[in-house]
Amino acid sequence: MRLRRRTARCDLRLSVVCAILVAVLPASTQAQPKAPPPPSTFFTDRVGVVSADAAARIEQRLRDLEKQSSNQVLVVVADRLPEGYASLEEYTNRTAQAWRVGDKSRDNGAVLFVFIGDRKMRIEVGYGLEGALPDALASRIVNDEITPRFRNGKFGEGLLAGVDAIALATKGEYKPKAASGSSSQTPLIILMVLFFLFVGVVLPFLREIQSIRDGRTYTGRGSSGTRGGWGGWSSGGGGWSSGGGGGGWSSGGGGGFSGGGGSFGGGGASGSW
Amino acid sequence: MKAIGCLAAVIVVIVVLGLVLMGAYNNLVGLGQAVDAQWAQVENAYQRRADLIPNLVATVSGAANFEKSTLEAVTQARASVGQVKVNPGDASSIAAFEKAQGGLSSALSRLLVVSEQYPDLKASASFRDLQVQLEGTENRCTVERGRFNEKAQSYNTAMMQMPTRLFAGLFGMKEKPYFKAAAGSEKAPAVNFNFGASPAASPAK
Repeated sequence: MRLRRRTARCDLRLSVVCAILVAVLPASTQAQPKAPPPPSTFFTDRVGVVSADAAARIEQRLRDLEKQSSNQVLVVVADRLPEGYASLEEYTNRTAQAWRVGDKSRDNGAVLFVFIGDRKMRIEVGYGLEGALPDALASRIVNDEITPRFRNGKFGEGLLAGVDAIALATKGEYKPKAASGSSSQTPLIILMVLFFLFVGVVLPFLREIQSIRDGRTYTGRGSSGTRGGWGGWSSGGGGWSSGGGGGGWSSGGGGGFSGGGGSFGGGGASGSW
Repeated sequence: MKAIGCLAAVIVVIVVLGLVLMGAYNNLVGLGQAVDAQWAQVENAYQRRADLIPNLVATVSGAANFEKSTLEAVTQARASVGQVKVNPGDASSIAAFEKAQGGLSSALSRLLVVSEQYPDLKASASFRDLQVQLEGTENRCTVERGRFNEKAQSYNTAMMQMPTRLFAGLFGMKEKPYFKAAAGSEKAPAVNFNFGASPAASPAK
């Protein structure tokens, strides 16, 4: 009886603690215009003004640029500036920031936004490329390379020329990630250590267990069953490691764009045609 | 037996409360540091603008008989900007900073308007570059100011929420001020094309 009363009191205390903990959890705040989802390719044409051939060439060039320099440059062609933004600059900065274009430690991203319906464009430049692609240069690329071709309706050509100019300006700024990136090598080292640990310690241990088990139950059905089990498991391991080494893991090696965590401070230049 | 149980429960509650308060306090300190760091970014963007001005003045004054009063206004505004010392936690100090920077902004925009009357100047590559750079810095200022407000908002929100609200005052934590739009900027400025007369830099209230 007394015991039950005590547990009831403890329950009360517990619920008070719980209430305090719940009160501590931060309420979600922040309401801003939502940025569009990031693209999965370097070049995106939502309007269809660029021919498939030119689109493929632009995509290839941007992919090569990332491979050679680790700089991530995106080109996005859309129709009109979405509602809810005070200016083109606000939209491009927020969007590029939300897409995390460029590497986290280098901020070496840039995005060329083109709004066909508004006849406006902007090169938004990440913090880390502001030195290689200062506003004045970005403005010249917009006004001297892209605008004249856009005026003649040659969108693919204009974008190619712009991409080439951006690539030329930013190529020497950074070396590819593999050459200097200690941060990309650490996971590899961890994987290697884990692998050797597995081969050196876990596998012999498992074999030991298995041999003991084999020795104990020497009936055909049981041992073949466990052996088959191990076999299946190790082949599963092989499948996993080949998946890791192939496409997705080395970022952008073979595939499209995935944001690296770069930051944008409003650098770049706008233009219209 | 019963007393020990109660004592243990009380101790557990105190320890949990202490941990919760400590976590909230540390969180607040981190957010406050983020605000200060973002303030440095704001100053950085404005400094960039101030650094452009000697170049701009040199380029513009090279143009034949450029209006002297406009150039002097820019130089003066630039000098007064340099004198403002800011503490990002203090609303009046931020207001003073904004006022000085706003003065520079209006002097600069007047200079750009006046330069429209000098076709040679407008055509020169160095002036065009400077104009682009100036636009770029204005844009950077806007971006960094916006981020400052976001950081200040998350700090203030964390501080005003329940457990922290009770003790934040004890540790001398104050609400961080926001950047506000300059007074009168919600109204379109009156454009005065009579450049010989009084400058139209300050919009009527």
